[in-house]
Amino acid sequence: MENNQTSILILDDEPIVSKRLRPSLEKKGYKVEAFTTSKEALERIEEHEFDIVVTDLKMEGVDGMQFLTLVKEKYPDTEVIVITGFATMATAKESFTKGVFDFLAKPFKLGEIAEVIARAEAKRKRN
Amino acid sequence: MKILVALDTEDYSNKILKNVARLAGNTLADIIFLGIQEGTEKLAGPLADTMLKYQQDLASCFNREESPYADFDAEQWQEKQPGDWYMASRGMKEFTLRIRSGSIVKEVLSVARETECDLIILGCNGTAGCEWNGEWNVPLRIAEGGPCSVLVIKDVKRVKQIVSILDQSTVSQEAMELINQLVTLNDSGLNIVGVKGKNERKETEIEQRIVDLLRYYNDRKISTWIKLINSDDVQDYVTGASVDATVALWMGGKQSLLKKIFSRTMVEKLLETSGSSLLILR
Repeated sequence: MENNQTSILILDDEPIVSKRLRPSLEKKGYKVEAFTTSKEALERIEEHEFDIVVTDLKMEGVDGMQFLTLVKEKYPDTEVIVITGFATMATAKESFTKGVFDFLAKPFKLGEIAEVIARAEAKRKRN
Repeated sequence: MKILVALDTEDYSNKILKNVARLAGNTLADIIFLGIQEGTEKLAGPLADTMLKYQQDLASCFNREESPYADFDAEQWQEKQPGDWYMASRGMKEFTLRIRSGSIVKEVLSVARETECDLIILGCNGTAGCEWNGEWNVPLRIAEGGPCSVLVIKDVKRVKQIVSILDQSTVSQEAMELINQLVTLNDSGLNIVGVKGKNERKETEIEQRIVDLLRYYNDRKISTWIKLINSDDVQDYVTGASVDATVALWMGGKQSLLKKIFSRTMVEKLLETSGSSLLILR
């Protein structure tokens, strides 16, 4: 049963983001792991492939753009969704060039990201 | 992010489109353009034409290949229910045109709740607290009853400073995120102003809060200044700041000190005199 669950990694240095997202996604049946530092998230990525990665961009150390680049290099089929409080056209373009599935500017409603995750999950299952 | 833009056929609505396009381009937001008409029998031609023109004006701000929104070429107005028309296209993001019949404030609030938008944007003629088609104080009434923050754009210029006025009550995460997007959009500095009340314990709380915010923005390399002012000075300070900065006013919490200081009349006056834009945060 557990193996059929879609796995999601959330990386955002603001704990409140995961605090909001995690229970809502778990309620929908996703297996969610949340991190507030890219260092810890990278360590986890080294040992496990996630179906979907949701990442912030502006972070200390390895930033979100570097993080998603590393994720896509290691696991090209993982769908990456960018969430950012400091959105620019340039970062949106760069994200899509690197193959992200979608780009969401904060604030957003839980329903909005849930809908994007559902589309990413459907794409992942088709491929 | 989902943005609801309330529009009519007046010049102040036309003027805000470039700002809306810049924000939409940065945030790749889902966009809803909402027009309000009188009478439910049939769709008013001039408003319907203007809404389509606004959509085309916004589309023209993007390179066709890079636009997050699809064309409306093959779309037609559909009647959802009597007095409620829509037209939508889905590119990478959704773009919807809506026209509703009824009172401006009531219909904007109704669509804001229905669509669960994150921000309402509207223009303002700068008189009588922003009159819209015979209704007065439209932005303030929307902000008072709305489920989200309201950005009233008075001038399309790019501002160099966002002045965020905070009190001791807890500011919502959504409000802070909107300030972040505006700072990024304008590549502007952020001036966080904490308002001290008469209560010493709460004074310490607000001091700590703005120091935490300074640290947060410094970590993210956003040029930020902090300042503490007395509640007695806040009206003069905001009036002065609003001449050439976008003022973000936290009016959300029931315990909000600012809500007590900024009477309805004061906000109306601000909307009349502000040279830039006013973000009323919820």
